[in-house]
Amino acid sequence: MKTINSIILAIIFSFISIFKVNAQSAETIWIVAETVAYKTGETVTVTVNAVTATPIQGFTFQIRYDPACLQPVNATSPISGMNGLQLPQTTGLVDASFASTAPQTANGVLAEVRFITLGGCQTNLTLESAALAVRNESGFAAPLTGVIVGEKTVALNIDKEVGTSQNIEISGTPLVLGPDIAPTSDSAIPTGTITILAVLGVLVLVGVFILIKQLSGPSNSKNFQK
Amino acid sequence: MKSKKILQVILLLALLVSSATNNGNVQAAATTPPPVDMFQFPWEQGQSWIAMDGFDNGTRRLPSSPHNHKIGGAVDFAPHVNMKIGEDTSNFWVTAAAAGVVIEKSTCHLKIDHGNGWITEYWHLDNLQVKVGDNVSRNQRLAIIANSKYQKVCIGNEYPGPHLHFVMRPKMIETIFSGWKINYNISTNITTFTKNGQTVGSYQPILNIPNLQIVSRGQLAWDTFYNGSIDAYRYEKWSFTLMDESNFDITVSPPSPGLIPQIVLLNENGVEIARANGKLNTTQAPGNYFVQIQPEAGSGFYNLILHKNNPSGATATPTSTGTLIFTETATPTSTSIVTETATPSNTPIFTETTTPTSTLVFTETATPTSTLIFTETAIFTNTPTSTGTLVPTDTPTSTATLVPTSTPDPSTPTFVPTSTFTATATSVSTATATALPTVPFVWTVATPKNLVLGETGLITVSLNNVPAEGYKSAEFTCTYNPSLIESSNITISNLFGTDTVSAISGPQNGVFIVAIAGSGNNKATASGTAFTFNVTGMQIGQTGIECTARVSQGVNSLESIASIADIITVLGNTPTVTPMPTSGLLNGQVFASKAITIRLYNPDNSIATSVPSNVDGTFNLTAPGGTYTIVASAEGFLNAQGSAVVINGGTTTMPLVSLIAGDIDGNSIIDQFDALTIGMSYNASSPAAADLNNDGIINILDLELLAANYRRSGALAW
Repeated sequence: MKTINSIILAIIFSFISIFKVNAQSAETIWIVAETVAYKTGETVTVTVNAVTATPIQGFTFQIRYDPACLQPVNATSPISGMNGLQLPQTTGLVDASFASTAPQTANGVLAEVRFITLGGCQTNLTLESAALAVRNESGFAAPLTGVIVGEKTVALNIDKEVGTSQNIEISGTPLVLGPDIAPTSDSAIPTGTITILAVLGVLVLVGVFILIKQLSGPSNSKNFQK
Repeated sequence: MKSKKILQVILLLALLVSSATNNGNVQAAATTPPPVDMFQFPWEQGQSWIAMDGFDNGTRRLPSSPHNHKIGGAVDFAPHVNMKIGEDTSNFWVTAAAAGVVIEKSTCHLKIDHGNGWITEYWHLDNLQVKVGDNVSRNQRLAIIANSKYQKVCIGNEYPGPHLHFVMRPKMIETIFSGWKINYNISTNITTFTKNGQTVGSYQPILNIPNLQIVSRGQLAWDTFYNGSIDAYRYEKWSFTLMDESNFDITVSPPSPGLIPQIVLLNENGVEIARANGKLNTTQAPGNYFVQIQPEAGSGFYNLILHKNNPSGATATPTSTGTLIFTETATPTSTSIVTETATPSNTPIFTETTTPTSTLVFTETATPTSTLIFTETAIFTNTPTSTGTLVPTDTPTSTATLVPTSTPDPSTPTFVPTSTFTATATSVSTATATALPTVPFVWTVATPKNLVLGETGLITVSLNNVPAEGYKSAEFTCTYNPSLIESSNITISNLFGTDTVSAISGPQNGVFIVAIAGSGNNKATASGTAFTFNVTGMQIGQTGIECTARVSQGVNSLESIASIADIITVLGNTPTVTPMPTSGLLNGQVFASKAITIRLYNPDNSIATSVPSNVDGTFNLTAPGGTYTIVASAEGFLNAQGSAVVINGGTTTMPLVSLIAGDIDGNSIIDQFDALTIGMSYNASSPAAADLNNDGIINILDLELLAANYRRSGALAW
């Protein structure tokens, strides 16, 4: 009886093993975080991963984040020749696209996305959409069909306690993910302008004070004439 | 005391005014700004650069900096973001913002005087192409940007990377560059650029495509040299007046390398009459005319001269087959043979300048009433070497020698057997001379030569005087004025055998190419029709239609052969067809860096008509009166769509519209996959739709254009 059970179990495990292999060989994209617990100011690195049997020439993904908890920094791809395309970003959504001039086999990490933690939060990172891209017969990028999006959400626990910022070495040219990639010198009122406006404001107040004082002057003048 | 009080109030008001004016945007001063279409940005047309830094209020730079708005302002431009010191800048050409004269030059900068006190400065340059005193045309290459590492730059401006420091005086903010207005806010110290409702800031692409400018250059005098400068978006228009019907030449020579100037003759209403490259010969009735000079390719300077041909110098001999009625002073009573050398005083119109010489032998029948009615037959004594169309417009005067063939009547003493007399002839038909080349040539023949609007004619293109060894293949290039006629239905004949290999490119912008090759050992060994096509009259006017050819005898080389063109005149609807016009004109201008197609759709969404725009984005199309949906499209751009009402007999002008770049895959949304196509095709030239700025290479400039419109979708309202 034990022998029969052993044989049955062996058959079941064999099937499970085969089915598992089949599941892994399907073209899938998912996200993973190195760890889920962070302190404020630390760097969160999330990897976007894929299993694909088809050589690809690009991929794109969008990760939703809470801008009150996380500040996106950059994304890189470890795949040689896969370069980031700098596109406008919107707050709360990392929008990253990478392309290569030649087809590449992409099994494993497609990209690493880095965030800085901003404060105490329980927050999620959600892989909102993702696609692997191939070049179609017209030469245009087209999504690889049949790709399954696997693990979509990563829950993060960010402590209020300030951690130590890390200098993380990155490979490849980083794709900047800040909402404004332009120099920030034009984005705020310069200190010099504020100073000038303040001085002008004070002068206006002094002028008004002098005017009021002069307008009340005639009675004094009359008394003086007396 | 009272005056002290008044002084204090004035001081206070001055303070308030000062405060108020320093908190708003800078307003243009009341100096004379340049014309809005005069200046472009100082890099090559069709390219996008970015602004790295703009005007300053004294807080980022020293008050003496040229960037300071009080001095007039300056902007730093670069071909792309993240310029790196030492990067290859050899193709980052700085161009003249407008035509002018170089007045200052160093190893790293230039200054150009554009007249009226308008001066531009270009700093941090290398490989300078001009010298002091040179005239420069708009968009002419001046220099490249120094790369800051291996090439010297002017002092102190290496940071933050190679760039062009561009200055315009007296006030940059008053100048419109390629339709872009510069905005500056003193309070925020931010400089932005606005065109067609789109505002961009630093590090965002600024596309340098000027609005089309047609500059009126004044009146032309005969036989006087004039010069001017043109580019793809700047044409020049000259005027002149004919007091009587005249044959004249308009000749344009381009001193600027690469420039192919085109001459367009317009009537006083601006309607095109004729066009040609290099030289235009035509005869026109009295009236006011315009000569518009525009580039077929390239840009730069040209010379122009207008020359009237002397009517008496027209030495072409008419070869009329018409009936001439002579009034003769003699009174012959017999049949005579007249040997006539006719010298018409009218001006024949020939498509080539040739002088066929011939002797005409006329058989004359004289009547007793002294009116000679004779039929003339042209007999050439030599072989004519050209073809031409003679259009008599006045009464020729001819001299004839009368040789009687019978004995004169003795009762008529006034008859002189051999005499010289003046005869008056009235031609009642259009005379046609046919004199063909003796060498191989391609002949374009239109049937009929006059088309009514909307009517279709047949063009036959034939190879003639084909040598005995034959032609293995031929490549024909046919040109015509696309605003006047539209070509279609190109049909290849069996001149090269029954199983020919052929390829057709176009039609686009009035040009198409037909290549025909015989398969196997097949060749064209005899003269005959190579192909035919249809043309349809689109707009009233006259256009030449010519197919040139390069032929191959199978030795891996193409040889150009002679060609004979034809002329098609598109007439308005004839009154007998219908008293009311059944169609109207629709025109406008669409901006995009690619070839644009304009389509009209009927209310049931079926297509009514489709035309390509001209190079400058202008278009003209004819359609029956009604309301249509009009769509402008270009490869890689979102469409523009609107409603167009065409009025029979009228002209409707659509508003100007700029197409939005980035929809590379044509799915009506600018998204990640469009960007990925650029990434996948980086530094390549195809797919052509990804080359958004049409510079022949897919690179960061195209990505910048796309990024500026990222996530936009649907057709732009027109």
